[in-house]
Amino acid sequence: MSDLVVDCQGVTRVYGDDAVPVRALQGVDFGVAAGEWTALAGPSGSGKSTLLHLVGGLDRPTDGTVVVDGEELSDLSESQLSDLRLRKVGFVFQAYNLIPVLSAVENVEFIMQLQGTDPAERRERALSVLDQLGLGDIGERRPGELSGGQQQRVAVARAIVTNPVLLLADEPSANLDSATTLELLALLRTINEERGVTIVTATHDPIVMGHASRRVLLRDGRIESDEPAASPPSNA
Amino acid sequence: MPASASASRGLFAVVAWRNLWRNPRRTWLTAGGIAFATALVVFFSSFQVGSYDGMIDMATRLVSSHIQVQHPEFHDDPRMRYTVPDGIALTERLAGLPGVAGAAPRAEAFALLSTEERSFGGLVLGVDPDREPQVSDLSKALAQGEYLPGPDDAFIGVALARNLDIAIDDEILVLGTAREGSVGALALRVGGIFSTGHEDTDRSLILVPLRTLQEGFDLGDEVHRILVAADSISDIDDVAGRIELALGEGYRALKWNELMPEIEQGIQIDWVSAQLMYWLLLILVAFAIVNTLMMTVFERTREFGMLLAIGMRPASIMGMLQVEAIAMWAIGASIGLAIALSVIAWLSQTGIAFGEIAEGMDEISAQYFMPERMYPGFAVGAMAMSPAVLGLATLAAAFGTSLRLRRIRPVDALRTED
Amino acid sequence: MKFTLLVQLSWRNLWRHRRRTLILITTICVAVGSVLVLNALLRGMQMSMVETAIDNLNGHFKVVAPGYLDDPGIKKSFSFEPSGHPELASYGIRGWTSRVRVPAVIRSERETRGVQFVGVVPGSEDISFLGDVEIDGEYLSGSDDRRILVGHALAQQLETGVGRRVVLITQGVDGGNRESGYRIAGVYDAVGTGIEKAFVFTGITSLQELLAIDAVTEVSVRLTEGVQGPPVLHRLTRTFTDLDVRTWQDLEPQAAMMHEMADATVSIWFLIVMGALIFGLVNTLVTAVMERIRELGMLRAIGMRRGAVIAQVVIESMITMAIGISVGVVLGLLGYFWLADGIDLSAFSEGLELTGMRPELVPRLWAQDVVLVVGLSLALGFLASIYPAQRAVRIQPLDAMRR
Repeated sequence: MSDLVVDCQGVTRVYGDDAVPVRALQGVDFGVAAGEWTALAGPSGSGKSTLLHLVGGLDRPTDGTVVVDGEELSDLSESQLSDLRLRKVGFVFQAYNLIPVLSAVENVEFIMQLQGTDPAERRERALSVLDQLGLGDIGERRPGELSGGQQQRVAVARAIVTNPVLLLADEPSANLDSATTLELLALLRTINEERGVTIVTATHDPIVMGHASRRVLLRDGRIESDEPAASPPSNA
Repeated sequence: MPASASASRGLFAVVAWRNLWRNPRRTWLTAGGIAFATALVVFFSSFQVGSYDGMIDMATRLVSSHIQVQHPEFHDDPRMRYTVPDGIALTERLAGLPGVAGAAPRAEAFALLSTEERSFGGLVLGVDPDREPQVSDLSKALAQGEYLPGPDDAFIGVALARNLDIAIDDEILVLGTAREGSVGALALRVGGIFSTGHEDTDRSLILVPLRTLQEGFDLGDEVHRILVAADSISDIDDVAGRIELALGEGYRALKWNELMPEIEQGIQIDWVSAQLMYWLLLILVAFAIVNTLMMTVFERTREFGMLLAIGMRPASIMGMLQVEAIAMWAIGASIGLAIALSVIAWLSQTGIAFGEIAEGMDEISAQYFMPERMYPGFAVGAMAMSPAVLGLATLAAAFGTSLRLRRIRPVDALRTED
Repeated sequence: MKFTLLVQLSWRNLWRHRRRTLILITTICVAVGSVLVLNALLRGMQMSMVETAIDNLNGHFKVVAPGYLDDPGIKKSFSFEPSGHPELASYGIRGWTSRVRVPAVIRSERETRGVQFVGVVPGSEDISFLGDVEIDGEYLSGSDDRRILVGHALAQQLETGVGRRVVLITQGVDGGNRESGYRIAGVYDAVGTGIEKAFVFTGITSLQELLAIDAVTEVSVRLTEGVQGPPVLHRLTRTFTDLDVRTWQDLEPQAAMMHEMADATVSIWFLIVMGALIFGLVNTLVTAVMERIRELGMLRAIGMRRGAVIAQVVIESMITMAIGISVGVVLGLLGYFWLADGIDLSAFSEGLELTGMRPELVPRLWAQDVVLVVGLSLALGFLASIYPAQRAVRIQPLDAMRR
């Protein structure tokens, strides 16, 4: 099991103070193998978002260890954690979270700019990713001028352009209609299958769960079930 | 249904007040700016007003008093022969007028003051030793000796005494031009030395009994000025009016501001230049208010859309914004006023002594007729100016920014991201 | 390269709320512009007072006999041979002149007044107000001119005029009175009647003859424009070892004090104006942070470091300040040039004379003041971004997930 991209052991996360502790996760063991597409499911408050945040290095566990791509996150400083997120993890957010003052292609370039990629290469890679995602003709528009589905696809482009080890998506379809959701999922599937990017999504949406290769159900901060998904629907 | 209308207006105020505290930091920052400007402007202008009264008081009490009656030409061209003929009798009449605290005659002559060793030019004032203390503080500035004990005694400024190198009981000879151009001369003894702190006065004045000067300089019963002190500075105009009526042709009554235009002009320069600065300060704070209100309206686009959607009228929302803005102004203005007024109240007990602020300041202030201790004055107009200007600016800003409401449609507003 | 990225991002963010940013910038440039204009006016007043003090027969430095200032009289005179000090020329001095000054009484047929009777070297009085004063009649022809110059106001009081005779009475070294008649060569019009009433001028040798001395009571020295005073003072003190060298500040302590007060006023007003500005600045900057919490959280989530997020806030503040300051400086300069011909304050001339100012207020803008205002404003912009930056520090990657 040395090719685990994510390895969580005994992870507990408690919010709030000692008087009113909120136990979001209670001793969860959770691993993700390379190339998997895992859907974290469960009702509100089950701890699925918390687990996703911990895996992405957005938050630190109260107890237990989180290892991402061989790096133990609790050993990392704030800025090392920033670098880990920058180089190894790609994020897709529920509310897209594009930078409103930058155009689509600039949003995609932005993350490479943070990494220090040189300008010519940046532009070329950003354009090619947008092209692959069918966004070639909207590169110059700003987020405010894009539809929700378009914005979310730009967000995916931004997340994968750096070839991250791990792509995390938090309720990616929450703001999209069904048709757009299906398009997005098809896109994620391609990324998962053709580029071999490991994906973890937290979701309520049965359609999303249906596309994942593995389904982990959380309840009250514990893993209730962990099973391979029924054969994914063939892309129609 | 007037009852429910007023109830809904009450609720209105509650909503507006609570809205204000949704973003306490911003409310405090804006109110803080208002308080800052209000406190500074109120405090400074109150001190200005206070210092002006002090200056006028100091300057008039020093030598020239509130009002003077002179020969019509004398003020512009102070010559020996431009006299008030029946000086003593007229003084008696003026002293009896209502609102007059005291009146005293004076004759004067420029002369060479000599001792055996030295000579200096100076201005000799012939005063009525009993009446003079009613109109000026020269007698109170006694530093050594006595104030005019006898007919041949002189009362001399401290710097003049130093320049002439004389002390009490020394002889001093006064030589000048008498009424008709002949030589006027007096042989005097130094009876007393005064120190007013005002350099020019201490360096150039010598007081002698009126009669002595009149005799030595062929003046007969004539005098050059009759000084009149009013009961208070605010009475000066009324008293001057009464004096004008009491005088016939051939006299001129001058008020302190005609006698010493430099004092009034100094006050005007100070006031005007300070006003420029105050307005600048108020404009800057007004800009800050506009910006705050703009941010508030912008952030609440969704909320306004919702309010419009549930049937609130744009005018009501604008009214609510006005109430919010005015409440914010009221907080800032009252804090500013409270700070300024408590400092003013405290200082009106203790006063500020310039000498304590910076070394040498007390000497300077004496030259500009500033009293040793300054007390703030309560000038309602000056104090109301800054809160009033900022209040109007707040209202205008609230109205201007709420015009944006007209462009908000309920549906759009509900969609707005951010 | 990271920096240019941040600047680019900050720049665009500023223009998301165009109106808000424009109002903020307007506020800054009004503040900076008016501070500069006020500064120039105050410097103008200050310089006017200083120049009046220097012009009124003081010069930058005055060499006098020890004890003269406490007891100004003919007894405290000293002999001075102009040709004996050729080294003066190398001191950065625009000019110098010697004078005899004694208290005197002037008498016309009608009136008597006390004055300062001053014997001058007419050719070298270009260092005082006498050099360019307006004269009705004639200027003194030389050191041995036996005629006098009187002020306009004094001539009126004495009911006399050009060509008429007056008597001057003063004291010799022996204490005896010296009296002599003089013909008036010219009547001068100085700024302010105080001077006109105070000074009567004649040739220095003729006054020395009257007093039966060949000494002088003062040597007045004026610096070349821009030359620093202290080193020259030092050299003068070493040149005239047995005499007192006094600065204009010693001679006119009131003017010196007013000079210092003007300095203080400039800085106090700068602080007050900037204080008023900072409330609005902080307010806007904090709002700019608070309304972007989710966005800034996202930047943290995708791997931007905390320092970079903070830098963005500071850069936004500095850009705003920089624009406001630049436009403000331009406005200030325009205001300055608009007023450069001087403001006519002659309606207040008596009040101004009290403070030793001329009735024409010519603003002075010094490069060092502009640099100071610009520098301090930038520092203020930095200061104003501290609190918003503290808010930004608290932004966590998780904030990206809000709402």
